Amino acid sequence: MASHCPYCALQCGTTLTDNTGTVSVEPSNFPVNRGGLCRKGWTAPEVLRDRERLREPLVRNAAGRPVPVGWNHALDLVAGELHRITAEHGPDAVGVFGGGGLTNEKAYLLGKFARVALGTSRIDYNGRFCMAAAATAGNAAFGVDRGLPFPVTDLAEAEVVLLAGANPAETMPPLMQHLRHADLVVIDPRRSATAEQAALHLRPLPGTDLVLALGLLHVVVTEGWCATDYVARRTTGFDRVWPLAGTWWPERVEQVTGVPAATQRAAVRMLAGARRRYVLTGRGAEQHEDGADVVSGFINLALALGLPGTPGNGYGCLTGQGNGQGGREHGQKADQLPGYRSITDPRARAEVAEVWGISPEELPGPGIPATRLLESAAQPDGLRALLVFGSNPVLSAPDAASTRESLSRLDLLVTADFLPSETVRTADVVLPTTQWAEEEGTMTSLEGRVLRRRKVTTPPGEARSDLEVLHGLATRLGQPPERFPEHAPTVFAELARASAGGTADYSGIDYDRLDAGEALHWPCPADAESATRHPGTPRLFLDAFAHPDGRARFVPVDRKEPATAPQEEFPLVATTGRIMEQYQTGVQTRRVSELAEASPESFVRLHPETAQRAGVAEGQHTRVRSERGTAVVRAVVDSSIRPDTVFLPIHYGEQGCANLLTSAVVDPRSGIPEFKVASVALSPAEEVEG
Amino acid sequence: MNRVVIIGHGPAGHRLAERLRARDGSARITVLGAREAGPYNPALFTRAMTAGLPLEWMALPGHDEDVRLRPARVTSIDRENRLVRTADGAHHPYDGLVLATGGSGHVPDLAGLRRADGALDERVRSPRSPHDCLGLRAALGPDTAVTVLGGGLLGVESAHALAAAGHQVTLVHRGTRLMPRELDSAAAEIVAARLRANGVTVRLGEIPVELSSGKLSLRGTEPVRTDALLLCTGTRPNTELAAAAGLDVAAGGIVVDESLRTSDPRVYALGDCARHPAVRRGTLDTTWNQADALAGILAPAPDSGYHHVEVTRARGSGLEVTCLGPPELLPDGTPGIEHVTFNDRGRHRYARLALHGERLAAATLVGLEEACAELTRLHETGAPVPSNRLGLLLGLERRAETGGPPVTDKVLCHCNNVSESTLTAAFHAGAGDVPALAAATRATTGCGSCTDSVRRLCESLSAAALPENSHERAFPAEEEDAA
Repeated sequence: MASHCPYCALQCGTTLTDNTGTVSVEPSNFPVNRGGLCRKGWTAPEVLRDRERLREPLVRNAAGRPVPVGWNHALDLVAGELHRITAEHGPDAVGVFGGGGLTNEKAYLLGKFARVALGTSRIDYNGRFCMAAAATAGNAAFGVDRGLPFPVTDLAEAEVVLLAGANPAETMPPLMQHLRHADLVVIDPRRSATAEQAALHLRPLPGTDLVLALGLLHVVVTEGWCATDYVARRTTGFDRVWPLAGTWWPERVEQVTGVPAATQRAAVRMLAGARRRYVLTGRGAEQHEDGADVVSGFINLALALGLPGTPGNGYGCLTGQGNGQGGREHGQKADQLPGYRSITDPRARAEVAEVWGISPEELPGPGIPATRLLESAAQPDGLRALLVFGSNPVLSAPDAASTRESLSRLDLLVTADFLPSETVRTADVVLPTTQWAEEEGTMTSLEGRVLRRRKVTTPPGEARSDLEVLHGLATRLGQPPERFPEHAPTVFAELARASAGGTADYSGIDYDRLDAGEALHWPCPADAESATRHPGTPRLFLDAFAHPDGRARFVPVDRKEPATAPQEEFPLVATTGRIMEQYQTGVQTRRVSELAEASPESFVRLHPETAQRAGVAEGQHTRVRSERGTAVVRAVVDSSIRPDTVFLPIHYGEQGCANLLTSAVVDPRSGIPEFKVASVALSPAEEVEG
Repeated sequence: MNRVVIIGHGPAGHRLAERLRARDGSARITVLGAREAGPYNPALFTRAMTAGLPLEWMALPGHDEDVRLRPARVTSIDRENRLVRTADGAHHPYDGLVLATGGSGHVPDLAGLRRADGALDERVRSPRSPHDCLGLRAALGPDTAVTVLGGGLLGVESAHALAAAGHQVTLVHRGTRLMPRELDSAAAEIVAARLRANGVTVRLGEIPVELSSGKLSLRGTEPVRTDALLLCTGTRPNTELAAAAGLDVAAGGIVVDESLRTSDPRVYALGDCARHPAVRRGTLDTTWNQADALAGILAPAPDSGYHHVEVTRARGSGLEVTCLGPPELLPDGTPGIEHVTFNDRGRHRYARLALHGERLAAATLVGLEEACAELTRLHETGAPVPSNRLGLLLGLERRAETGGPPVTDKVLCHCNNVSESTLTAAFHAGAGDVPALAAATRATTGCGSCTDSVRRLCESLSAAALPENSHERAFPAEEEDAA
């Protein structure tokens, strides 16, 4: 049966076969992967039959041990507690935390559940940790946020692609076949697998990406590459952006970033001198306390070169999570309603309220972004209860030790998940759910294409779909049963209606069209008048951008003074990222034997000089200490990394959790945390036995 | 300090007003001596000469409206009553006063530079004026001969930029060494060689005598054909107001302490008009760093203070000159200093490092792109200098070194961890082409970058599988990528 890989936003096409309970996977000839599949995709079925799969609802007993109870008992208990807490402390004492791996249907119903059944504004999701900066910057520049405003396959025609803080050769390998013919310009502090394939590698000090982007724009203008006609016709705001970039000439940028002036010029000449070129950003550019500004910096660069909305050229963001795109469009984000509409827009409120059968006044206002939401659990007027769906904030949120401490103060922590993640292990109530091959639904890939996920096998034990869980809770909270359907196609039909007129308009999409194999990229509005149905929009911006004046906006950005000066005590910069064998916090992939064998534990990658100074040898356990906490991980000595920088992967728990080091400082524009820069010191740790 | 008055609206005063505004919303900021247009960004002036960047593109960012800009000329500073008087009769009380009066280009006493009315001849231009730079650009024709007078940093940058843009340029310098404040003689020779290679005629040790029609006469030697003369003969700090107000003034400018404070604790000075104890060679960078720091001092922040890092980085593609730290540490025999020298005359590359233990105390670098970037970072952070000095200087390819035993069975497909032996075994088990090998082992199905290596392996295995006397291929050559 045709479906898609459960992991990243590329959503590679797969063919699933169920052989009496054992699912096997083959890559299909789907356009984004054309028969390719990475190691994670090949081994994904192993997660379905993992021996630790959650099979029945668990409730922590008086002795603090989770014990199996039936669904009725678990849901009654949760609903009862939510009712009590809401009555005593108001609806905003209950929070909901979603995930970018949830299907569109789940994300939609979760947002509706929070606003309608709980009446809380306190909902946000883990996409705040990965997509928020690019989303904010994309909206500001183009009036719409779609990871790639063009099909992935367009990249195959590119002559030059600039990848800012993206490492697709490891994070989404099948994408690389579309980049095979392009010269790559890669911006990354370390020589990543993608940088290995680059024609030019720029290696900035972590946290200096914005200055680099400003410097590249400086070269574009001073060397005469600026697309002045495009800038005049299709954009506004260049006159406010240029004076800022004008102060960042290459030699000054070199001093801040460590990227040689000559390399900056070479990068611009490659990019500007080509006819078909793309600028793509990834988490390396985005996960910063000025993340939205960094992305705006790269979008400004792309606009000055005239790329967005020009056939064969463009700017895009490589979305991370499987449904990172759809997950940010349907209302699990603090400030959003379905269809990527603003919760403060009176018209959007009225239209969505009508679909939901409530009055607009009953809809709560905007909530608070993820990091602040989790922190508020430790505050007197903050959260008392939190429902976590498909996310592992104990590992994925910044400053992990503080997050764990905050969550421990809750009266009630409920998790809906299919594996015992670190967050599940701290929960009071655990609700077992289905996963990819056990359920129907839709996902929206990084190119804005809506895809069908299909059920090929039955879930273990008593696991239920999140839709059923929400239905069960909502009805216990007094909602009419038909308001929270359990049937995915029904939920999708309602989602499509609720999105009508929004930025991400799905109203012309239905399961029949998707099942017939149509390639539908949003926006795809319903058109009752026309005999032919809307074909979807594979390429945005060809005629106009989504702002009312049809123009793209340059957004003025400049480097802010760093909040804290570098300290003697923590002389190195730790940056975090991904490796090929693992996905997200590793809850799924660490269980797959082949992946676990290849990358069994966390590590710190460091330069030989740095290792020598710290007294650390290859393979030795190493203490990495920041102001927030200490991680203990193995040393991997690698002369391709900057000597002032160390790298830790994000996929591991316990002492190997990279977020023990990161700070909860967030970007004021987007709410994304600073994951890519933490000041640290290294020292050898005792060799652990075994 | 609530009321801050800034005298001067060049790059120093502009930046300070902007940063102060960003830091302290309640500060009442008045800038005196502002002009109707500008100020302009000096970093762009050489581009104006060579690429015709329009004047409006050279303007520094506008201030928000709460910064009060007053075009009036300042007549005096009344320190006793803490106010500044302007020519329009107004007076401006202050809690803190900042002198950002900058410097003026020095016009040498040379016959022919000035017209009868005392104004500069129209052929004479200053690279410190955006209008002059645009004027020069307009005057440049295909055969125009430009003479750059003065071999300091600005002269070198200007000559380099004009030559790179294809113009006929002669650099005339009185001394025998270019950039004498920054470079030792070996480095200066390499810089001269770089300029010559770039098309600049470099004439050192020449004394100009007179600018006349089409030429600049030199003492005792051939004149230089000159249609336009660019004055790069240094600047003088503008200190008149400060001196009249009784503040300490020395030859190098208004005397300030480490924290940019003048002899009056309520009065500060920065940029080209100030003489800071640690600053040897002021640049635009220095000025802006001082402005950033002074904003923190005036709107008190816990980290207030100015820490000067001596960096001079020449601007220009292909010039690649960096000077770090005090040059007096560079000569041989400096106590406590270990020197590293790299002199590659043939390729116009030079490095001289002064190391104090593991730290970089000073350096001069010419033509070493990677090293300019790396060493500047090391100099600024005080981080230890890597032991592989040559690799550092030459930016040698950084190969990934993974520890552990030598690899005997090479992994061809990293995405799916498929080694040569696995592929070979699959081949012998009947997977005779790339698609079959992909199906059997998953090799090539990740990023696909190993497809060529897998194909080559397959071909060599096919060839080896043939009987020795056969010239037929056992398998057709694989034409397509793995599906």
